[in-house]
Parts: sequence; structure tokens; C-alpha cells
Amino acid sequence: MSARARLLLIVVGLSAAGPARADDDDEPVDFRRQILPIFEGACVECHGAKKASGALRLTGGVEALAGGITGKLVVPGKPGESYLLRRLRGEGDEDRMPLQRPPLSKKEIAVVARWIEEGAKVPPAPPTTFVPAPGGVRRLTVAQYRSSVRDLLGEVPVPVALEPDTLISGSAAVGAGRIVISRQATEKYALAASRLAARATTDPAWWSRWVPCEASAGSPTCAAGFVSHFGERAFRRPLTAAESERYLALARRTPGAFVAGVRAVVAALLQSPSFLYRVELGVPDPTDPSRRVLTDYEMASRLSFFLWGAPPDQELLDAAAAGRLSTDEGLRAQAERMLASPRSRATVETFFSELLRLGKLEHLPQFRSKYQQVSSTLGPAMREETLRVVEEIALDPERDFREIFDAPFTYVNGELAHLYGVAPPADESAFVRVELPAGGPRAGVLGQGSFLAVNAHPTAPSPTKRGRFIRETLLCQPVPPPPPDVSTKLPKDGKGPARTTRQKMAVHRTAVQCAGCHKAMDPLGLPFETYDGIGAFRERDNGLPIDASGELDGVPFRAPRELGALLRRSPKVGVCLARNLLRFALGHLEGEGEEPLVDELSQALERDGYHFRSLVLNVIASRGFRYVGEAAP
Amino acid sequence: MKALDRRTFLRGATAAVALPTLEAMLDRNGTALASGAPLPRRLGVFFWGNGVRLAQWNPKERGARWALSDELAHLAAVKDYVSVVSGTQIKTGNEQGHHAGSVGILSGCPMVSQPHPASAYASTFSGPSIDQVAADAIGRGTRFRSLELGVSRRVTDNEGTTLLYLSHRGPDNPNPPEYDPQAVFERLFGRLDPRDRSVLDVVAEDARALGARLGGHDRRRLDQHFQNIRELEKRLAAPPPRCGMGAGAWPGRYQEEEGKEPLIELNAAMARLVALAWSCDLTRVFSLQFAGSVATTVYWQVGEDKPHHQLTHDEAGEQPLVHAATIFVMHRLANLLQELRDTPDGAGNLLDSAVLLASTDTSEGKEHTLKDYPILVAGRAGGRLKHPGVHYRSDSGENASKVLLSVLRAAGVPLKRFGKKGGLVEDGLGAIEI
Repeated sequence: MSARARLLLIVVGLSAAGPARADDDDEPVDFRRQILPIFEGACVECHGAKKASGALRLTGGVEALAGGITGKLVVPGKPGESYLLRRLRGEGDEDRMPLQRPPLSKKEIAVVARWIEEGAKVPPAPPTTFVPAPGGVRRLTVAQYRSSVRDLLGEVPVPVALEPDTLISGSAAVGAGRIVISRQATEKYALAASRLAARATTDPAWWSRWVPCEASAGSPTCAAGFVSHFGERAFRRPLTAAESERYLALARRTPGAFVAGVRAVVAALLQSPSFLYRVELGVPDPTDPSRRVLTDYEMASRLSFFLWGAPPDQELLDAAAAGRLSTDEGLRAQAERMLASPRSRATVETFFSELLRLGKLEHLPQFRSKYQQVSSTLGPAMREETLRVVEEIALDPERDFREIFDAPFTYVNGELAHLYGVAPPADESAFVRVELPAGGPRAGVLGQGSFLAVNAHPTAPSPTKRGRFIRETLLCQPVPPPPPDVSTKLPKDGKGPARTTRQKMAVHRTAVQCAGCHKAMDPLGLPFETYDGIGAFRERDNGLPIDASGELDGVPFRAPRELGALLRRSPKVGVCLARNLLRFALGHLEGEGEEPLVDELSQALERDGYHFRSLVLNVIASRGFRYVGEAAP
Repeated sequence: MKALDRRTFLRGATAAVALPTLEAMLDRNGTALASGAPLPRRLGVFFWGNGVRLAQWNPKERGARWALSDELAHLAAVKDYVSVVSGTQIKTGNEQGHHAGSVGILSGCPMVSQPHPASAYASTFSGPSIDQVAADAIGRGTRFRSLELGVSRRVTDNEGTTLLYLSHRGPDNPNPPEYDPQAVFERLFGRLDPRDRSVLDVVAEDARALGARLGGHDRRRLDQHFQNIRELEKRLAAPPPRCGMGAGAWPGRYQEEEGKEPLIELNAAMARLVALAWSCDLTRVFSLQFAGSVATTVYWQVGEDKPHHQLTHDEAGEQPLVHAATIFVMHRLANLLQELRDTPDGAGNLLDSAVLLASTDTSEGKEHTLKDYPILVAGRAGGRLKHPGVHYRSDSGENASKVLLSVLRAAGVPLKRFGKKGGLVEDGLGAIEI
């Protein structure tokens, strides 16, 4: 049960005692006996545990009362004002529910109406037990592969264009946990490993660091020392006896000089699945047979890839060898050491780049013919701006992360300064921190190019894209795609006087097949019509004044800047941030059994004043970080 | 028998690429290999997202005397090599617009929905795409079992593998395409170090050992990793390809400028690469994802200034931009087919020995329908396909998988049936076969 659901719980009642009598109008409606079966029969296919259209689940009373993206479903005591009944009856501008199924019978609707009239009582939600996700293997992302190569071979360029990460839900970590490796990727790793090995073995600095003898004085002892030392670093754990023998045999078998043998070993290690995948299988937990606990070495990798985006350093490997990561204190000590290091910046950057979809800034959609500000450097500048703002706030242990929504400052170089109408720095290529005008329209990330320009079209802004971004990315409320076989064609644009985009999009609210979902996006995106496609402020759209008002879940606001303030106060934002950080750390989409983790993390985040650093430490300290379930059969 | 003309292969090329000595491989007639084996057959897939406009796509006439419709007009130079199939239907289910059509036409199997309450809708394939079915049957002897290429990078990247990738070996098991022609070229002729055979042996053993500790999906991941490594090992043992790689700037880099993808140039480069790869017998199977399913490609060349996907929904009336974009995409397909036709192969050309499937992810973008599905089949497939091609229209909404079965049979894959569940068929489409 979500934190938000608990907060919004309006009425909690016990289910009716006594024998069930279905048709007795004298007895109050029993939610579990009479309403839940209706939901289960007609609704949960789309509003269920796995798939929750409009972020609405009707799997239980508490969830039903919590509602979804369109707000609260029922007003207890007032069936006439309850949105649920309107949809069941097909009233107003929206599709009748259930969608593309026979409607509920008059009797069923009547009992739902009576339930609402009687106060919409529901039984309390059963406590959700934490069930860890199954253990498994996670492939290195491109960035993690590069940092691993850097760790093992120093600053050498990777001589092959690696297959790009597959993003699942915008996350490379989740994609890397799921996707099966292609032939092409296997081949590229092989090619890269071979070339990297050839280069490393001819580098005297590398040789003297890792091989305990001169190339001309190779010996079995030297080979064994090298395999053990370098192998442990490559696999992020000591090699097993079988592995050591395998690699030593490879060195022995390789024709030619000792160097050739070392080269072969390096080439094999750099493309071995034990290097390319991070293993998170654990061992049975002696205190709890239903789950497994990650080993020290597995914890070391999980921790360092989470905090540094890189493999464990020697100190962390030593801590694992000494068993210090199996205690909460030992784990925390290493976590704090690593967070204090500047190496943790990289992971913060990776996380927020993915979260805010900054990768799209490499190829801005805008045509230069329409927006003269477009250049090949503008998108990357916008990325730099947003990262600097977010990092300033997130890396400060004392600051409230939600400042990103209404921050009255930003970082600009010359190009951005001109776009935003603020004074450019003396050196136009440098980034400087600027205070934004106090009464001005811009504040926070939603006033930045990274949000405005990415969510736009080549020659116009897109209120739907901007609204959808806020809904899905900042609030974790996915907007369902349109149902199949429904015509999405808008009525023909009539001839007449000029209209603003808001006016042209009015049909999204009135057309039956559009309203349900566009209601969740348009009121959030339309206020940003005060910015054109590239993110420059404007007073007029098509010659007409712009109406910048909007609504967040029933709460109206007059301008985008006010939306920033509303987002700051929305509990959904913290839950969404916690959810995304958990995915980033664990490398999978959270299962139902992990919802208690999301709850705990977001509640702690709220209590701690939204300090990002605390959230990171809490993720590491959580049960989800240390325990896994049995691997799937 | 015509002498091979180097310029025919490498129009516009600046590199010197050593050509295969095909003459030495052929028999006296040039219609078979000297060993007596038939000339290899090939299979290709060309895919574009967001459908067509059926009223301007479907030819009016049926049978052999069909005339090119407006949207197919650019195929004039290769019309004899093209059959149009209309009126068939994807029957693998319509769970989600675009996703369902894409998976249905590319694999004949239902899609796998991957919903999540707090994350955007996603889907993946349940079975292998047609190019991979072919690759496993006819692609084992070549350096690459298959080649995956892409042109427009404007894919929808947050709805799972279906919208990211055309080629799949199974669920969450994609073959990501290469979008950079230069990278394709380097891959085709890149050499693995032959000394690495024993290296790969050790790597394979590591894969086996790790896989043994895993179950379910993760086990399958390591199993495939193991297989991939074994295939690489075999490749190292095989003789190097008869084509060599010379120095030079071909095929070059193509940069997007100011939001405008150079689709014409990219497609032309990929077409030349396919012709080269087939001529050198580096592969017999390719797929070209010209624009992905639900792609947000902007066809600025014809005046679009919004993502094409959005226009298919929003453009009013007769949708002139959507129509113009479809014509443009078919022009690109024509470029590919012409490149293949103009490349000698034995006594004929590459199109004579090939079969290509060209289709999209929905009939019409604005309706998300799977009926009257727009499908083209191109090539002679060594005499298995009707030539000149025909327009076959099904009046009874036949299963589109029949076309897929015919395409695979034409490529030399001896299947009795193809597809799963609603997409399962035991008959091909006789009308397009000899």
C-alpha cells in the first residue's frame, strides 16, 4: 500500500460480520463481498496489480479510494459527485467503463452507488510483506564497461564502437538486467578485448603494475601471480581454483613468448561473462529460509557500481575479503567513504541524465530554419546546465532536493544566456551561475531548455509532450496508450480566426476517445506555451495572448512557476524519486513485493527533509539492497 | 556471361574493395556454382513505421495487369520484381496499436505485453522475427548469420524492445541495428585475431560455468552468450572472406543537421552495403529498419515539421503530408531494390536470387488497424516467385502469415507451417509463387 494511499485513506471500516446475504438492502454494502467482485470481474484486467491504466488499481478498497491520474474516484456519501459512477454510466465526455466490454448491469451500478452513499467504507489493506526480487545477473552498461576497462588498463580508449545500451523505462540499468546479448555485442566485446589486450601488454607502465616479473623472465610462478591478482580485479572477486587453472593453461598453451600468454589471458578476462555480467545470486540466508543474502563480494560490486558506476577499488575488495560488508555498519562505512569521493559525481550524473532523459539533447528536434538559436552545441549546453543545477542541489547533504522544481538560479553559457534573455558571461563558452529574475517566469528544471526543447516539435512546442513528461517522469504515473482500433483522428480544423494551441487542443477535452488520458497531460503542459519550441519565453501564440493557467490533480495554478511550487508539495514526487533510484541501484523494475521498500524510502525521504544523500544511504541500507529471492527456475 | 563491372558495385565509392572472383565459382552457364550447388538465395526485410494511406496505396487492378498506385509509383523501375499483397489481415491479436502489427507482420506470433503499474507500457516479441528464422536455416555458412541495419534513429525508446528493434531472436532478445554506415563497413571486413581461438575456448567455458548457476531467463541469456561465442570460434576457423577491405573514405559519415536526418543518403549507403555484403557472400539475410514502429521520424524532405507518427493521427482530411511521406519511403525502398537489381550475380542480378518482405506496423496510422495490411514481396527468389509480380488481393481477410510462409519458402527454408496461435498457417500464398 502506498504512502499516499495511507495519507488519503478517508474511511476505514471493518467488513460486515455475519453470514453473507447478497440482496439484503437493510445491511450496509460489504465492500469485500459485493464491490470487490465487481472490480475483479470487470476492471482489474486493466486496473490491476500488473497493469494499472491511469495509475488506478481496483484490486482493493484502499487502492480504489486512492484513485489514479484523474484524481479521486469517489466522494464518500455523495454518489452524484463521484467520478467512478460517471464513468460506469458513460456520462460526460469520456468513455464508459469498462472499456470495450459490456457495461455493468443496472443492479451492479446501483450497489456501487449505495456503497458510496453509505460512506464508501473499505476494509484496511493487509500488510504487504517485503518479497525481494529474484537474484540474477546484470550485464555491464556501456559506461560501466568503460570504467571497468579504465580500472584495469588505465586511460586507454576503447577501440570498438560498443553496442548502445537498451533502455527499458528510460533506464540502462534495467535494460542491462534483462536483455539477452546479441551476436553483434558478443563479437564487439571479443574484438575490443583482443585489441585492448594487445595494447596493454606492450605498455610498460601497465606491465609493471600487474605482472610480477619482467617479460623476458616469465615463469609459472609469475603467471600464477598475475592471473590471481589481475583476475581478481577483473572478476571483482577471487578466481575459483578451476578458473585459475583454466587461465594458467591458456597462458601455457599460447605459442610464442611469455608476453603472448599474458596477452591471451587479458583478452579472455576482458570478454569473459564473469567480467561482463555482475552476479547477484547470494547464498541462503540462515535467519530466513525464504530469501538469500548477497555475498560480500556481490555487495561490493553492487555498492561500487551504484555509487561510482565503476568496479570495486582495492579498499572495497579488501573490506569484502574481511567480511566487513556483511554488517550494516561495515556497509555503511564503505558507502560513506565512497560518497565522500568525487568519483560519486559520475553516478549522480548518470542517474539524473537518465531520469530527466537528457540523452535526447544530443539531437534536438528543432529546425534551425525556424529557431535561429539552434546549433550543434545548444543541446549539450542544455544538458550541462541541468546537470549543474541538479548536482548543486543533490550533492549538498543539507539541501532539499525539491529545490530543483523552483530553484531561482541556473547555470548558463553564452548560448543559453541569449536564449533565456539573461546577461551572458564575459567568456561565452564558460558556464556561470546566475540568479534568475525574481518576478520572472523561469524557475527550476521546468524552465530549462532540457525540459522545454526536448519535449517539442521541429517548429512548435508540444504541450502534450511536456505534460506527459511531468506525469510519467516526475510523478511516475504512466499515461496509457490509446486502445486499439480507436480512431485518433481529430476533427478537421475549421476555417476561422487565428487560434492559440490551447484553443486548437480544446477537442482533446471534449472528444470522447481523447479526454481520459489528455486530461492527465494537457493541463500540465499547456501552461508551458509561454515558451516556444526551443524554450525562449514568449508573450503570444499565433498573435494571441497566452493563457498560462493549468491544474495539477485538481489544484489550479496560474503560471508554470506556480507548478514548480505545487510539485514541491506533492508527495508523489518523493515516491517517484525513490522508485527511480531503487531501479537504478537494483537494475530491475520493482515487483509488487518491493512496494514496501518504495514506501519506506519515500517516507524516510520526507522525514529527512528530502536530502538526496540520505536517500542514497537508505537505499543501500534497505533490505532490497542486501537480499534477493531464489533465482527464477 | 557478362563480365563483372566493378563500377556497378561501387557507384560513388572511393575505396578500393577487392571483389570476389565469382567467375571462378560459377559453372559454365553461370546459373549454379561450379560445385553443382544452386546459387545461394537471400532474404531481406524492409520495414517502416506508421502505416500507409490505403486508398492511395492499394493498386486498383488485380493479377498480372496491375498498375502502380500513387504511393507505389517510385517502384516503376523495378515493378516486374514486385508483388503487392492486399486484403490480408494480421491475426495474432491487436493488444496494442503499432506493437501488435509490428510483431505480427515480422514474426507471425503474438506480442508479449509488459505492463507495469508505475512505468510506461512496453512489449516484446514472443518468437523470432522472420529474418532470424531464415538466418538459422540459410545463414549458417556465411560469416554473418544476418545483418541488421537502421536508417532513422528517431525510434520510440521507452515502450520496450518492439518499438526499438525490428529483429528479434525471442522475448527481450533483440538484434539491435547499426545506424552508422561506416560502422557497418568496418564490421563486415573487421578481422578477429585468429590467435584468439583458444581465448574464446576459455571464455566459452566461463559462460557455461556461469550459466549452470542460473535459471529461467538468466539461464537463457548465458546459453545464448555461450552459443554466440561458439559461433565466433567457428568463424575464426573458417577461411577469411574473399573480399578484402581497402583504404578509403567509403561509405563515409552522415551527420544529422539541425534536426534533419539525411535519410536519402543514409538509405543509399545502406543499400550499397547490402549489395556488397550479398555479393561477397558475407551474409544471406539482412533487415533494414528504415523507420521503427511508432517512429518519430520527421520527413522534412516532403515538408513535415512534426513527427510522422503524430501527423498520422493529427493531420486532417486526406492527410497530404502522410501521403507524401509514404511516397518518399517507397522511393527509398525502390533505391534499395534498384541497387540489388543493378548488382550482377551469376548470369543475373542479386534481386533474381532474393526475396524481400517490405511492410509496416499498422495498415493506417490513424486507425491502428490490422486489416487490409500493406505488404510487398520483391525479388525472384531463384525462380520461386512470380515474375513479373502480381497484385493479389484477398477478399476474405486471409491470414497475413501466409505471405510470411511464402517468403520463407522462397528463400529456401522448407517449412510446413509458420507462426503461432492466431498467426499459425500451413499454407503459403500461392498467388505470388511459381
